[in-house]
Amino acid sequence: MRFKRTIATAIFGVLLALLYFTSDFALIDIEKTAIVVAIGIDKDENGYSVTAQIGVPEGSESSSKKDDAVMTGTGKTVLEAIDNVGAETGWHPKLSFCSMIFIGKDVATDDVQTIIDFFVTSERVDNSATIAMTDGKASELLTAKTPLDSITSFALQKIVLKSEWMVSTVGATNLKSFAVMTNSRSKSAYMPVIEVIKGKVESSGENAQSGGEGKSQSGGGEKKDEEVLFDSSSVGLFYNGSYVGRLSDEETLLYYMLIGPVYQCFIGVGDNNEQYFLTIESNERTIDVDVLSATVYLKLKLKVSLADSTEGIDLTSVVKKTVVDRKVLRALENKLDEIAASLSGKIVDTKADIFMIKERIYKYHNSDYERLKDLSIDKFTFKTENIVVSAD
Amino acid sequence: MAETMTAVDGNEKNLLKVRQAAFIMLAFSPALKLVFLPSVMAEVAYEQLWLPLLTSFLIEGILIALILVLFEKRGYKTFFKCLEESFGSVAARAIYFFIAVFLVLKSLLPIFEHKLYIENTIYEMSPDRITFYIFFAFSTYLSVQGVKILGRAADIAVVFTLLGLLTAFGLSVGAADYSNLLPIIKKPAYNLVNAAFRPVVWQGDAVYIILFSGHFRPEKGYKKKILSGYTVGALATILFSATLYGIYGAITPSQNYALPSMSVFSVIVTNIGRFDFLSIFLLLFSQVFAVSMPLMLAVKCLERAFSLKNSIVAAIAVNAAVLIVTAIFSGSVFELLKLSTDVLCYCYAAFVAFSVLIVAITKKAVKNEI
Amino acid sequence: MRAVGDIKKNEAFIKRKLENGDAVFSNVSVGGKKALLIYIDALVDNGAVSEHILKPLYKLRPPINADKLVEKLPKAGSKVTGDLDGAVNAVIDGQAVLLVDKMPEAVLFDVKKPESRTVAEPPTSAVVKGPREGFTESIKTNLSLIRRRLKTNELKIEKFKVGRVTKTDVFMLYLNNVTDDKVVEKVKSRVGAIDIDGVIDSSYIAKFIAEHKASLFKQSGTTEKPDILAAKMLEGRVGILVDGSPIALTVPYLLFEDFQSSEDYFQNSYRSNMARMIRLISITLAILLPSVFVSAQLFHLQIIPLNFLLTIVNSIKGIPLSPSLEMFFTLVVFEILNEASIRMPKYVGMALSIVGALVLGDTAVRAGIVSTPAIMIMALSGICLYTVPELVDSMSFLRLIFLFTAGSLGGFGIVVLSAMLLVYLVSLENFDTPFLAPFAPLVKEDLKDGALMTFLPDMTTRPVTLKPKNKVRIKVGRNYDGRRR
Repeated sequence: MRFKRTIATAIFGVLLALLYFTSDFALIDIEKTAIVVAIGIDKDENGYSVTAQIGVPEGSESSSKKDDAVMTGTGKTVLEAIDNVGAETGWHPKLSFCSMIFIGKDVATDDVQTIIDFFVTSERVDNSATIAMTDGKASELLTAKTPLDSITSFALQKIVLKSEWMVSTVGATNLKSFAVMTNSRSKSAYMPVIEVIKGKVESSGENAQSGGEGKSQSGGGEKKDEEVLFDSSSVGLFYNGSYVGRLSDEETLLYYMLIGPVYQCFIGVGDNNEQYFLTIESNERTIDVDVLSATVYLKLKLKVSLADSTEGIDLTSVVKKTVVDRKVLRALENKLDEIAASLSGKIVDTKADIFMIKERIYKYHNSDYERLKDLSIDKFTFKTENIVVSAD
Repeated sequence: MAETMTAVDGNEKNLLKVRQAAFIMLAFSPALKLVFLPSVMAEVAYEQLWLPLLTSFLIEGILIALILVLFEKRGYKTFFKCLEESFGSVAARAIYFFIAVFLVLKSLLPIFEHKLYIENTIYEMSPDRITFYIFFAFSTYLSVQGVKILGRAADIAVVFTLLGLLTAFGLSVGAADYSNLLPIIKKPAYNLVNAAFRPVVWQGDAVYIILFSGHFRPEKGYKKKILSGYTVGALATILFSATLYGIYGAITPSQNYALPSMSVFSVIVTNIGRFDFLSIFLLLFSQVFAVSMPLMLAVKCLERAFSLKNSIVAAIAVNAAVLIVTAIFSGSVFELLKLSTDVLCYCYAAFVAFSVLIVAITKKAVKNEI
Repeated sequence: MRAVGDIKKNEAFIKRKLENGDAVFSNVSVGGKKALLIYIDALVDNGAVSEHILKPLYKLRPPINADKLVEKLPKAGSKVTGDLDGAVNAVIDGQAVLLVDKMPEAVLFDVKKPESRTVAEPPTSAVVKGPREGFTESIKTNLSLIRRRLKTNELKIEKFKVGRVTKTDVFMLYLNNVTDDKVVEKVKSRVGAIDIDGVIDSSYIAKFIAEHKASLFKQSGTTEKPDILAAKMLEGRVGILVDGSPIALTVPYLLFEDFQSSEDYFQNSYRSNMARMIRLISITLAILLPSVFVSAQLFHLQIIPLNFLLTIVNSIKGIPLSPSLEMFFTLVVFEILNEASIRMPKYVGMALSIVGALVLGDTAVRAGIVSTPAIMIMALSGICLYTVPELVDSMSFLRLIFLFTAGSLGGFGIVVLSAMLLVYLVSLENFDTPFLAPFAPLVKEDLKDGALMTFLPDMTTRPVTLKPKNKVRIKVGRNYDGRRR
């Protein structure tokens, strides 16, 4: 018995060793694996064109300082296009590290839901991958050079994530959140729009960041002709899986303030003579739906403190001037009212139910859902109520 | 009462402790239900997926309690002995044979789904075709062991399950919007009875308890202990299903592999990489036990049915048969899933009910036996 | 053969049996009778022979008989025997034998030379805090070291002679009022049943008393320190001492024993718990790190953080070996270095370190044969393994099996192998004691000294797993703080 067991163990050991020394030859070597860190999806005459940005390590032996490479594949479907990426180079694209997906404007306008649904159901890309649409071609974005990071998509991610962080509790616009929104009863969603800013790279030195009124714009670096900066301070609206419109920067900020708490956010108010920059300390918000009158009430209570003003700061005083004048607060309230009106107008125009009104009715007024489910969002009345700004 | 009576079947290899029986429920039961089940329930019951799950678990919990009471009245004999005394040896053997067949059939869907789950989510590079089949080596090895070994393994595996569940829950709870489960009180827009039958494909703890009865020495509060183990496992499954729905809302049915889908939104995963794989591997450890448990118990039933001295032949036969079925049909996992949730779940439920009924009609122990 | 009255015949018989040049046959006169003192020069204490045998012998007056000799030579530990075979064995054992003409008996004198090595700290289990005494090769010394620690008449010592040729003294020690009788009986029967030509070391006995002979894991505890042996006996274990071996055995053995160090009980409990956790994590890392690294590179790239992955890709550029072969090569080199460093004379040790670390490590990386991460992973695994030196044998073999499995089957292979290992470990029992206790089966009472430990005064009972006759260690009412429990 023991002899038999020894023989069996020996055979098992030999088989395992054989498998060990041979199995990995059939696998794709890491060196031949293209670690895709971002992809851009555009339309082309064949169907789709996928541009993949590959992370290439900074090799000490490498003479080139370039840390990324860009490869393109085309196909009738996104999957086919992805599989064709690297067909010419022999590299095998691995998408598990792909943390950003850029959607070209042409794809967004046509049908983005099919693409997002594909990614959400496939195991190729994590559902946490951030998504954003571009004002032009997604491939141009990935092939652009920027002083912000040696890998363009990493620079873009920083910019998008900055906006996301501002509205962290709202949740990043990632594959999952977009798919959840667009597949909800509201059939609407949003994602940041990235714009390329050309000709603004002028100051020298380290990477710098600037922003006004919630803008997530970055700049810096030595002037180089082809280098560009990016801006992602506005969001695109989607209804039924297609791009239907875009919020302005101010509308975007108000939208963020209405759907979740915002952090490290500034808002400017004033006229040509005096400008005040206020830090938003807290934003209490409520979105109420009156199902009888089909009215949506947007309520917002802001607490702000003075961050900066054109009046300057008195350095001789111990007490820092952070108190905001009442007139400034009122001016901000009026401004927010105006922005809210324009935001509501956009919603009505585009029918993009980005406040998830239908979903809210289903969750909180379920008995009325059947009656209201076919009522288009443009038939709802949006009212701003109690937009109150107070000083901290 | 307990210490002096002969509660065990005399075979030391199959001796369990009450705690171990509870841990088997706690460690293996939820581990088996974290792959397809949440999305399957979301497909049929949407935001109310917890309700049919709760109903199903409640019914099974009541059955387990009933079984424990029935065996108490039968002097803590083994099911086989009860059958033998009531219906004779041939009937007892026949019933054990049918239980073995039931367990083997019941094991198929979990095996298929875990094969797919492992190949699609755990392996980034396509694994070798034989990779999953190493499972059957383990299953055969476990099958030749006694139930005592399963109990001891549960003592350790329970730590893996709890750590895995806690890690996964910790990583995913932040991303969950539990308002997706609203409205809580709503007339179900689906057939609750039909929906409550779906989890039966993954359940089976009632049958396990029937087979374990008589193999553990009852001690003070043993029914409470076993039911607690079952309840915690059931609640964990419901909580996880609810959390998955909280994260994915209406698209939950598309997320066939609950665990890897849930934890990727954590900041830790964003910052240091797939930390969630820790929980996936911890739970996978318990899952290999959970998936092979029905096969092991099927072997034990066959051992009894055919009075086998050595379980190695039965173990090899059962595992080889399931391996062949897996190799041929594992590509049809979704067809099997549909068949299981549309048809087989009713058959399985009927079999479980029939088994409990049989326990109920076996002879009660006379007073001085207890 | 029985001794006869004719000294010539007795002498001839013994000479025939001891056909060696080192046996001394010294003719003496006792009370006017011819006598012969036989001993092996290398084994006896010549001072004792002269002082305790020869000097008193010359002073003896007739009549001479065996009883008188025993009576007059008390310091020599004299004993009478009529069996000449026994006398020969006694000479081989280091005793002196006196044959007197016309006396049909032989008188044995215990004048064995005392041990040559002094009691010192064993090199394999040095401690910062705690006793530094270690066992020596002398069984007498070892027994005295235990006797000094366990001053009770409940300490039972049973002697066995094992080895047809070596006739080695094997002592079984246990506390009669603590140790489970079944264990004692099993040890007795297993040691008594050993039929081998020679026992050179206690590890021979360990292999014979093991229940699972082909097991990957050892089944007896080993220690070179009397304090540890005493502590384990107090818990209810049986100790086995073998003449000529400085390593004592303890049974029943539990796997988690080796994660516990004697120092854990001497230092701060918090530090001890941390140390135990470190040992546990280290052993896990030692076994799994190389295999996880290989399987991650081959099958699960996604579990490697992106920046580290880019570093790996960078470092493996141009390396001719696949990740699995690279790790196997590194492991083989590590094992060779390990083996060589143990066997090599100490004075070459430094050179070996330089050759190993610099030439093989650094140069191999520079030459592009292996990558830096692979070397780092193997080095870390190697260091981790030595946090529990007693488990190095089995764990290094396990590491190899895990590596093979990981390279062939990936992460799922690792999980399945771990599950198989668990089933194997929980199925192991030795002396009716589960190998993985107190964790599987879970023994709640014993968890206070398991992977973590509570404060020593709170360990009121002996490990229940060992089924001690008397479970109480700390009596009620004699608590460390004077309060009743």
